[in-house]
Amino acid sequence: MADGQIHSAEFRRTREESWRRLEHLLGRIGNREQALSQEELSELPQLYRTTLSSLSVARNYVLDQRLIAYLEALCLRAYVVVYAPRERLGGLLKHGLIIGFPRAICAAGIELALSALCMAVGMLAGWAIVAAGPELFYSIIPESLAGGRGPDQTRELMAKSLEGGVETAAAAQLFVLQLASHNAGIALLAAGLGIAFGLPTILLLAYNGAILGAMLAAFDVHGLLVPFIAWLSVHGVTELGAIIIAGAGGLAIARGILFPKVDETRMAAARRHGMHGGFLAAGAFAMLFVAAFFEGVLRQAIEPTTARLLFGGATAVFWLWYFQRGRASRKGRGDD
Amino acid sequence: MIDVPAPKSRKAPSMAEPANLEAKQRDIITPEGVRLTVTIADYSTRMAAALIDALFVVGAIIVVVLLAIFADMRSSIVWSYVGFFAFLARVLYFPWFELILNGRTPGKRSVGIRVIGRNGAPLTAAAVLARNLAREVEMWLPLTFALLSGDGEPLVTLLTLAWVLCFATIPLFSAERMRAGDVLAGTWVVVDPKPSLVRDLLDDSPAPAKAPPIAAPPVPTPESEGATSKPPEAEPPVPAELDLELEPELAVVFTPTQLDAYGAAELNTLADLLYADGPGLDEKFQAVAEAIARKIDHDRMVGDEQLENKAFLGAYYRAARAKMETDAQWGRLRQNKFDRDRGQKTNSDESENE
Repeated sequence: MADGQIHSAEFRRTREESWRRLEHLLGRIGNREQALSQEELSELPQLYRTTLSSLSVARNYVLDQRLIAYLEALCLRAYVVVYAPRERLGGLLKHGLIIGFPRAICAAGIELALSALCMAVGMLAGWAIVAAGPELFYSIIPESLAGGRGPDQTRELMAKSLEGGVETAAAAQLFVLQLASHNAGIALLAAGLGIAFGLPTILLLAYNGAILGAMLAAFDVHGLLVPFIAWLSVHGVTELGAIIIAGAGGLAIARGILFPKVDETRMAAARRHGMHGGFLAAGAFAMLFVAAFFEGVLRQAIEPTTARLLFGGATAVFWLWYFQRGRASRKGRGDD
Repeated sequence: MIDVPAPKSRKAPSMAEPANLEAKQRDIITPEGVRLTVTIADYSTRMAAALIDALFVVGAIIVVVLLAIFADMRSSIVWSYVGFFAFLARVLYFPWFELILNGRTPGKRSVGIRVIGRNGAPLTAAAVLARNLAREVEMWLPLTFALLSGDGEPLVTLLTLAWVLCFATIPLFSAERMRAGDVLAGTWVVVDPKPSLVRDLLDDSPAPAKAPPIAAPPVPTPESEGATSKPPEAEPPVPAELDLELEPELAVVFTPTQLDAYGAAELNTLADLLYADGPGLDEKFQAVAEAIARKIDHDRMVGDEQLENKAFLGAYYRAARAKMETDAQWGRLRQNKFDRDRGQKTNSDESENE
């Protein structure tokens, strides 16, 4: 008291310049880190830590609440920038495709099995229904999807539908784009519906299985089962695989919400499984674009049934090889 | 000197509205181990942000559709590209912007909110993907249904409405206003902090016991100007009449006992009053100045003149804060006037009178 010196005034005077500098850099960084030079970028974390320590000191020794509020806001602002997500969408894609997706697949055994089971049950049901009453075919499969195919059509028409239908490259382009966005939308939905406790996911999977089963039955009526499977396998291995994976993502999310581990909070479980389901959905999303390419372009180019079956088999081998990489990298990483 | 910007007063922990603020604030611990306080974003603010973003996406799609109409209306190829664009815009808009704008979308930025990791964990790209995967179900699915079943089908409309209500009200049941996607991704949406430093009340005049600068006009010196925070245009020019008010107080003397009458909480309340703006302040200054003078038994006289209310309060604030900050360094800071243990024994009897 005797010297009349007020500590917080001194405190503020000596440090304010660096706070201002940090504020200035944060203001300039705005949206993009490119706005700052290399030196300024390296200055940022340093200023951030200096300001954090200013805040700690101020909380204990400075009685100016407005100064403390300012420092808090400044630190929070800097914190958000210093600990920003480093990945960009491109890098994320690369990392996710090489490591993330296969690992997520390998960690989702139960969900994948359950998802495949739902689809298989739906398929059997669809087959059984159409085998019992062919007229029910159109109540399972919407007109747009049936595309003039059905158990009541002539055998010639059904056989013709398995031949190269799309002639021009432009039409193929159109087909790929429509397919990709339609199927990828379905996949995201199947995974996202996990937040509704997974029940809609199961229904969606079973319904897609039923469509498949009904189609199989419709071609079986005409004795075209093997050509149809061959025709389907070109893209179907990839597409159905992707839908099963997306469904598994939804089930993983539902599992996290419904059944947390014993000493895990529901929030933490939802988060853990949410990330997992997100990875599965993103991977399925990418797979469906590949499937749409197969379906729109390659399926017409590959004509004989055996060649189609071979190609379908090759895609299956490829995906299995790709997914098992996740197991190797999991072991390499030690745990989780 | 009354220069608190209006929005700032919400952030400053004022005594006036503690309950309202505390309900929505959460502490996070930075990796450096420092506690920071975040303010959870309002439900209505988030709705506004989502609406703005949805408008952006739908607007972009409409623009592309118009372009397609101008380009070639009958070409199905063009339309399939339009459909593909619409799909990509819908799926990629949110995750793309939340990654490149660091937890914000244009809508969020315009209302001043952002996504952060729960409990202060860094926001990861996987979290951004997960929270926007759920958006597919929460936002786009019902929107698509609403657009597709525009007319008729009351059942579909009803179900869509129920679906929207179900997911849209989830945040209201969560203390952190988390929607389903936030639960999955482990994220919070918080108010984007806007740091703004107001000038310290200490800068309003020289310290009380300093003798020399009496003659100098109370225009900010270069040094104090450097220390003030406001941008130049917002700096209120010091009115000339302040001269008369401030000069006498330079001689005001408070005894340590008088400065110990209150604690940190009361000091903050006094600061709020001194920063306050608006009508009817003179009466408040009068009442508070009288109450303080009575309590600390001070005659408010400097020489032959009685100090004006606000000048007296400012002088007391500066002196008390200097004293309390010294006490804080010795670990003797009193949180409020009832916090007797840490205060000096000399004033304990005086506090009891209140």
